[in-house]
Amino acid sequence: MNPADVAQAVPVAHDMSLFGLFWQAHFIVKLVMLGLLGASVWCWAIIIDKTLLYARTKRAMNRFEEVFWSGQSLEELFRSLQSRPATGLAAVFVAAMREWKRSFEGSGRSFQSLSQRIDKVLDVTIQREVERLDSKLTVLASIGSAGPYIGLFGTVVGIMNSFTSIAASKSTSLAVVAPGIAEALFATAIGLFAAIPAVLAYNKLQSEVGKLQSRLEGFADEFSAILSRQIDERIALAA
Amino acid sequence: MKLKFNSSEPGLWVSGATHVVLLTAALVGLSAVHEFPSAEEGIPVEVITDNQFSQITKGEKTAKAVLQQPKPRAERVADKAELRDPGEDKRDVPAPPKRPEEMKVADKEETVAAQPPPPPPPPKPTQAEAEAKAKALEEEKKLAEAKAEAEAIERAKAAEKAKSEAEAKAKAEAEAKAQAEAKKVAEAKAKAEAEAKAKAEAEAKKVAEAKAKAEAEAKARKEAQVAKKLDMGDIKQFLENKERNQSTGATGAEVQKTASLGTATGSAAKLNPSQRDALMGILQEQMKRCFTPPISASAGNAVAPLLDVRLNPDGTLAQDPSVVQSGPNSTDRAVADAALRAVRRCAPYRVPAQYAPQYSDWKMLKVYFDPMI
Repeated sequence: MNPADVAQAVPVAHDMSLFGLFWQAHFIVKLVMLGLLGASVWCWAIIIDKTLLYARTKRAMNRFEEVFWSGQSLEELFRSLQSRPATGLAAVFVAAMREWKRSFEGSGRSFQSLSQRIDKVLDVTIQREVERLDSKLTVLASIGSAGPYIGLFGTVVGIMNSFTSIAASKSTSLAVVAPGIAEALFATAIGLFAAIPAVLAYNKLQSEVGKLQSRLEGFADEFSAILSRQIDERIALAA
Repeated sequence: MKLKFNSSEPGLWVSGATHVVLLTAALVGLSAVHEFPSAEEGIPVEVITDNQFSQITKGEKTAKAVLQQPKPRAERVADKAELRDPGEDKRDVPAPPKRPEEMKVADKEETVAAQPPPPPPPPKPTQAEAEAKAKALEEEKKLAEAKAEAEAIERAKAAEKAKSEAEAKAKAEAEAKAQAEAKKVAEAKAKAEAEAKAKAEAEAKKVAEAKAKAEAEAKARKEAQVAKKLDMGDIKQFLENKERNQSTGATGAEVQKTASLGTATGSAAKLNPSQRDALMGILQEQMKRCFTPPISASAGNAVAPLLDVRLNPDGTLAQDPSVVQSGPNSTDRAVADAALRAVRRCAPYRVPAQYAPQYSDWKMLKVYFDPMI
């Protein structure tokens, strides 16, 4: 074969743009790419939502603590917060106050285990709040760990495909081999594109959740201490 | 999942929009794939047989023009083929100076100054030529001798005839004179007898002279041959003869430094099998004529060597023949050497004109030399 003929025969039109790479890929590779793109969109959506939520929660906690320690009457505070659904520290406060009020407003005065009940309510509320903050973070963890594997799967399928077509075309010129491999590697690229932010964000958000949770627990302990002191005073008065 | 914009959870929308924007930017910005500087692709290499190689006529791409008769490349004219048996000198040593013709030789008694000098021998007579010449000389000698003998016989006959005539004459005269003058009879007879005797003597002398001349010629020739013989006194000349090796290079029958661009027909003409067999028969028969297998090969277990013989269109050797394959032992090597010598010695070969168009098919031959044939 004449080298000139070879040189003319090689440039089969390979669109090397991103869309071209996607469009020429195998069906399975296309699915993998689309799935990974969806995962990327979803995980960024979660990252944005969670970041906003934690910022909001932190601001609310700051504001509530300011109000709580300003010396305002707890009754008043409770009344102002009772009307709308509370989150964060406010939710913990409202839950404890509701249990407190219920124990005093009823006919039978049950002080004996009020302190224990309040502790239980606080625990449950903290758990619920943390769960709310924590939700969907597992999605990030999953994408972060499984994304590269999914991308790798697409790559392997793509390379398998391109090797079979190399065998069919009986040419090992790099110009023939390269487009298929570039297509295949594109899948891994998308996988990594989705997975890397997911892993980073998961670690960051997880630590944020931990901080908020410890803050909730700290407040709950303090509030529980205040309430139990009140209970003991009431018991002493009653006796 | 309800796709309604929620201001407290705008993540999905923001993320989706950002991805769309990024993808669009990537499609626009990255679609122009910048290419590497173009590198030369490797040249495909084809493995060809020597038969195909011998028929290559495509020439070189860098050549200027198509030559009318493309010839194999040769940087310089090849040295003369060596035609000597092992043990002989590789090249001719200069001949020792000849003895002057006048010089006396020990076993010669007479000088032969009158003789014309013998014709100088040609500088390098081949064996056949020398033989032919010797034969011719012998024949000449014989002829001369025969001629001399015939002449001598003729002369003797003539002398006898003259004698008889003279006798008859003398008798007649004597009779006439006896009749005319009885007195002068004795005188006349004596005179006639003397005359006849002188004549006969002169004839005999001539014959002797001719004989002497022939002998002298033979002697002179012998002398010249003796003078031509190797003189051991001149051995110094042989010892002083030290010559250096010459540089090597691609060799051919003639210098050919211009490559051809190719020919109009892409490939060369080929012999058909019967033509090939006939031509090989012709060539091998010519080669075998000069082939003297070594005596050790007469045992019959020598391996026939395979020779590589390259020919020019005119039947001369394009390059020195070489042994492609031969047996392992010394006898086989001797046979191979003898075959090489035979191929060199019998060149040029007579190739019938009908095979000229297929030259490229027979310019490279593989010849088996069976020592038993």
